[in-house]
Amino acid sequence: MGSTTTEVLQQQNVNGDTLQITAFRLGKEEFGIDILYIREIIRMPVITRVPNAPAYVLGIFNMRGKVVPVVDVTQRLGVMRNDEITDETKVIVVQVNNVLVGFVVDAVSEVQRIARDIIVPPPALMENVNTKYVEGLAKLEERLIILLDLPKLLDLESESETE
Amino acid sequence: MDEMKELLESFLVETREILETLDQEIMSLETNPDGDTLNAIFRGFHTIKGTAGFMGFENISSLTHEAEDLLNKLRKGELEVTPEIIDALLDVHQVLTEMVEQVATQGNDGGIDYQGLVETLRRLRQQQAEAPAQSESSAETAAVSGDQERVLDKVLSDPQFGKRATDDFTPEEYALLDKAFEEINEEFAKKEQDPSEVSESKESSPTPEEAASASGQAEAASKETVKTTPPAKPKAAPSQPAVSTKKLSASLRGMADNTIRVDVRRLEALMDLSGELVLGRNRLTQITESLVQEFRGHELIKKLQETMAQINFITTELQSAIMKTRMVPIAKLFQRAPRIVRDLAREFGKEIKVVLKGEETELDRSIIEELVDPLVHMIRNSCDHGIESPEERIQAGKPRYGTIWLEAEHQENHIVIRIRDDGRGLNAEKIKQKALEKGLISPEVAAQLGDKEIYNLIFLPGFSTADKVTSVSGRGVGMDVVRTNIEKLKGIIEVDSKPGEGTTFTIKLPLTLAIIQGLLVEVQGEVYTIPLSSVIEVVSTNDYEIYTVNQQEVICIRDDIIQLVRMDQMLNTPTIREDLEDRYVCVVGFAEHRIGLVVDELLGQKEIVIKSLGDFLKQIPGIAGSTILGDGRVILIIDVIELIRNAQRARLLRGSNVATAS
Repeated sequence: MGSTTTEVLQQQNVNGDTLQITAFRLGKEEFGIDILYIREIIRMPVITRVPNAPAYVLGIFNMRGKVVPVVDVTQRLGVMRNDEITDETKVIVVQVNNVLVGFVVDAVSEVQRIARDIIVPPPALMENVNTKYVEGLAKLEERLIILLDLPKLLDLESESETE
Repeated sequence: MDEMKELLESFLVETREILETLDQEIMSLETNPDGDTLNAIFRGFHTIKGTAGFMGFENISSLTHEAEDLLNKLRKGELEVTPEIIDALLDVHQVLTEMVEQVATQGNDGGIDYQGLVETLRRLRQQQAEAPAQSESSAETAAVSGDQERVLDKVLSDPQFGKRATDDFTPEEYALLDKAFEEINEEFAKKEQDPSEVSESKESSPTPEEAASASGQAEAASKETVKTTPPAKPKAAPSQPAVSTKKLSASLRGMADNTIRVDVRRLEALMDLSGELVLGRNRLTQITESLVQEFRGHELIKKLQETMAQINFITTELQSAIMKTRMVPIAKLFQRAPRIVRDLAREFGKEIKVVLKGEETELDRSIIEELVDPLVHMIRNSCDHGIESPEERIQAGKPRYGTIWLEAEHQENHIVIRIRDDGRGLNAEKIKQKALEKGLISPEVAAQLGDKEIYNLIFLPGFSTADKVTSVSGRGVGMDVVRTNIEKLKGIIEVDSKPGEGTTFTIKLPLTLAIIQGLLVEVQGEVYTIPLSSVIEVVSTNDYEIYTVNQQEVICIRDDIIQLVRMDQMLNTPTIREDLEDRYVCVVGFAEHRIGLVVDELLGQKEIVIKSLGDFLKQIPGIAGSTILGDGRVILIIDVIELIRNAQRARLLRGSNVATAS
């Protein structure tokens, strides 16, 4: 459970040379996370605000009887997101280290199978994205998909202390 | 493969269970070294040896074998029970526990060094080896039949036996009775085959006459018509009692089979499902209400309402039935105490005994688990700070032995647990001084506090009265953590004390954590729920005077001055309302503390299923959890205890005259 995206993929991948990711859009960038983390992708639900919670916590919602928190990762990633909620706006509910949490994205594109050998490590600096949470980059023809280190990205507790 | 896993699982469950009772039995052997206890311990080790041997755990099996050898000497009376032997047995217990846990995690029992322990056991065994050796088997028979006699005596001498409902027996009694009868039967069968043996075992095992009359009594008592066998003819008797005891034994065995072992996860799943059912039921109720509004008078509406009422009833019953499956007697928790106290008493050179009361009181399993740490901590405190040294006690005119009482009882919807000692009591002056020193209270406040209030200062974070730091207590985190743990369980803890006479900690806990009655309130358009159990009364802001004292708003209700908390400010709602007109004050309290929560609207009362906020959010100040309403909305539950505590702390520091207590 405590393993990173790559490790999980290495274990799960039959061929060992392809990754299955879900790609989504946040602001101008396109990101990808391992599909194995994903529990559900839903339209923006009715969210109950949680008072006195950290600012990135948008609130909690009812996912078929389970209370699940929803967070906004844009600030952490350093990307700008359109605040407007459209039909495209989705919440991706993931399970990381046994914790369920949802995060808001502007749009979900598709599930991609990408060859492992096209993934390159992130550059030390990226123009619009905080590379701390980036595991690698995948170049696909016209597109650049930024692969996220989800456990790191969502381990908000330890982060908030240093912020 | 699966079969093996299952076997291993049941080995672990069984062995852990035996180890748990063995611990107490070894402890009681020290004060009460009688045959029954010895036999019980022997049997415990014997069973472990057998199953471990079968499973191929040779280390466990050989260590238990050594312990058994020692116990055998004790049973034969060749050795006296000494503290040294008790220590060795406890050590065996300890090592066995480690081995079993290693089996659980690694699947083997190797790598734990127990040779030294074996040496000790052998040395102890040799000590009085010159005593005449009886044959092992006859000693065993003697010992076991002593047990039988005890149980039979106990049961048969009970005039209520016939009337006593069979489910009044404890599982141990069942097991013993069952075993006793089985062994009697075996005994008789043996005697029938070999009459020469009768005379040999005559002294120790019940003679056929005794058994015959015993079983006769038993049956007469249980109002069965029975032809009493004349006790005169020992030779003829065996077959008759054998049959009747078999019958009784069989009927008892039927009873014993009424309990089954269930994986906790299944119960948790049931509990979750019943929670979901309650939510669904609530939703249905809401829809039904709307339908009734719209289609009043329709013939189907009446049927719907009837069905709804029925579903309502069944859901509530089902819920409480499932809840009951999770109830565990608090004995599970209390029984750890004697061992802890024994070890600590030794360490501190004190003499302390433990008295348990109300062990049968039942509590939700999850609560019991959470209580372990606080309880252990308080027991340690009592041993360390509470109970004096024997010399000190004698000087004070008290018995050498200090006593710690652990008591539990039901009070309405709550469980009350008391940890009481007859030690030196708390020193109010010293506590006050410490609190002042550490800046926990202001001097003005200190002057006003009564003794009881001062005692309760020990629960403040960063408080410790221990002059010296010992390995067990006095690290200055103690009672604060205890209180936090208890409050997590929606419970409260208080302390009272009399100098020279002792200290009492009282813990009050809800029976279960899963479902509560909530009062729904609206605060600036947002809906929250306040646990109804802590709501004392609700008043309109228009009906009572509200003052500001030292920048703190208070409301005067009758003679009470109650501190107000503006919920919109506390909850940081997007809009904040300044005026206090046409609003409500929910007066909430725990123990004698009261505060008033200012809300905008009252939306009614609902049974709610508490859901945690999940691991991601953990602790949110002022919020105790969440629940899902009938319409699917998630709302938050206000943490009343925390709000009261905050108000309390603010008051202690501010040093104003505002009272939260009334």
